[in-house]
Amino acid sequence: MISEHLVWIILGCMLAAYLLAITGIPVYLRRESLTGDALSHAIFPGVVVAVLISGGQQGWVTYLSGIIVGSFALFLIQTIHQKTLIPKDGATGIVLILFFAVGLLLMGRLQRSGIPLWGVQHVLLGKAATLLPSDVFALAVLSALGSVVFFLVQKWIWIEAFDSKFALHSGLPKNTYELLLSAWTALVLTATIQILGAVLSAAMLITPAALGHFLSNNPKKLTLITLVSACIAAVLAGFISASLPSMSTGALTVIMLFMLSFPFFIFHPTKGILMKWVARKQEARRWQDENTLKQLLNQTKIPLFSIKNPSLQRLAKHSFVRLNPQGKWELSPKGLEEAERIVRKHRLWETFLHKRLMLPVGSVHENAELMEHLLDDEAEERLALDLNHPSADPHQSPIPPRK
Amino acid sequence: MIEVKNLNAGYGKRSALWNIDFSIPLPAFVGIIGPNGGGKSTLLKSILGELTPLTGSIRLFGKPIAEMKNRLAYVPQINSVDWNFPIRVMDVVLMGRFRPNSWGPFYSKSDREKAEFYLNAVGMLAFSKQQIGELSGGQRQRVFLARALAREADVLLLDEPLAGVDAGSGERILSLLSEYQKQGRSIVMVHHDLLTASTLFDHLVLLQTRLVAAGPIKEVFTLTNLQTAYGTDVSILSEMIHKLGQTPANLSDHP
Repeated sequence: MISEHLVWIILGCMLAAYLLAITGIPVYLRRESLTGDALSHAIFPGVVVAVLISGGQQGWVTYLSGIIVGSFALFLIQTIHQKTLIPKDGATGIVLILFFAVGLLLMGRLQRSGIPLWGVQHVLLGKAATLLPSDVFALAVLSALGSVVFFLVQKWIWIEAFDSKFALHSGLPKNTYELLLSAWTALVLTATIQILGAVLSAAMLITPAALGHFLSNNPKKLTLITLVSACIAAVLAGFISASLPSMSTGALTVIMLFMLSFPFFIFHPTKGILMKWVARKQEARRWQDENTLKQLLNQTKIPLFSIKNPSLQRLAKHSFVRLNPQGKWELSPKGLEEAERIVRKHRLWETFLHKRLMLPVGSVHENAELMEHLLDDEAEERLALDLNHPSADPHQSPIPPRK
Repeated sequence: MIEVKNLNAGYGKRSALWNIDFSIPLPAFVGIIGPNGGGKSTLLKSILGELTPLTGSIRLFGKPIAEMKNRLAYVPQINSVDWNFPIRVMDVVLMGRFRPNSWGPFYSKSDREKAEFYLNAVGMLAFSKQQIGELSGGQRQRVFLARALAREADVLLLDEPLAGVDAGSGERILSLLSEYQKQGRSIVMVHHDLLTASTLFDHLVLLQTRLVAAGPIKEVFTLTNLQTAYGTDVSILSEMIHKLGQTPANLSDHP
């Protein structure tokens, strides 16, 4: 049974994931993924300070303090990078952990002072179960605002991330844009780390966009995949987390997202690991079968094939070969044609290497062993034309005519 | 009018351009020529505002170039771009139609038509749906040229647009540039090939670290000037053209 409270939780998780994903697109495209990580950690002391100031009340003080501390952290990263020539990722690492440490110290202080810690401990790990309708409302407002702005400035986002110099020349106010994007990212992270936790918010900022990029190079499709996958992952995580209260929503969302992505990484028709493996395997089998056909054609070199030879089994299935009455494998007419086609490519290539590239006769065979599997029919035809349809290869073996 | 006054520019302590002074009325088709190491690209970068001059100023239509950036178009260095970026050829060319005040999420129909026109002009329309990383170096160059053209800016700045482009497309691009210029726009272009330079441009800037000459092509493209720029051993033009592929060592490290 779905309780009203559960609906709020799931809605909150979904909005948080959506908000992070849409914000993450420009951050990911600008290759600033690590900055998102730094921000989420840097905001931590900001949120603690906000609790100190407001005496435990969450609200606009938290958001404001998140933006201020986050922007300060980014300013510090930029300054360290420019003044010391420490690379940007190095500077990011330093600032990230510095701010986090300050946050931990402040939190210890807070625990002693007796101010209720409500909300602060969730900043670290996140907990959706404590979501209030007012939090969900705040997330909804931010999501709506984020969507409208993203929709309106999408041209900028792509131009600026792809070629920032060009954007500058086209009159894009680059500094303002950077400032607004950082402030917005800090605001979004402040709003979401109470649900997902600091570390996992940063993950949810980047992972959906990375999945979108893996699946599409088309800006519109990338955006759609990013947003939809984030929402699905969050809804699933929200259900699980609500029914198993000991599980962190943030962690579950990230795991759900990974589980959503995983099949694509494996089964994607062109980029998937499995498909690449299958393609390689098929290619290897084709080479093996072509070599088997050649060996059958060239009876002098025939080894003793076992009946169960997998290559012969495959060839028999497509009736390239058959067993003769003596129980030996032989080529069918179709198999003979195929074998001659391969031999033709082999010998044409040998002729080409010898005649055109002036390679000595003795050293053309090895390379032709590879090329016979790679030349397509068009290349074969051009080769024959270029060599004036030779009838014999450099070893004086006949070149079978094209069928 | 493009005005360069007392320009000294360079990288670190090494200065690549000394005391450059010239002005050329626009619209014009301006070629920047000179030997390797003569400061051609440095001048172009200075006009673009990518390189801050050590001294001097560059003014375009009477205003400092910093204020005129949106009236320039250029082709970026090919290695300054992330080729894995999720963007297709057409999206790149459409960028040329971007105007900061053109609010709205999408490009207009006429923007798309312009982008298609220039993509076709550089012979890359068939590739419009491909991701840019799938293109060869010369093809990428042409896509970026199409983007620069699509801006239809008052001044188009080009650094050897024909490098890495095959002869057929090269001719096509040159005639396209002439056409572009005839519509009242200007092109300032670093160029290597003296043979085509003599017929392509109407104004020339001849550089050899210092300014050798600048102005209408008839006044600049003289044997004396070319000898000053490229060295006295060059009496025959065709020989010069042949040698341009290599760095004349005695010229490039001029004091």
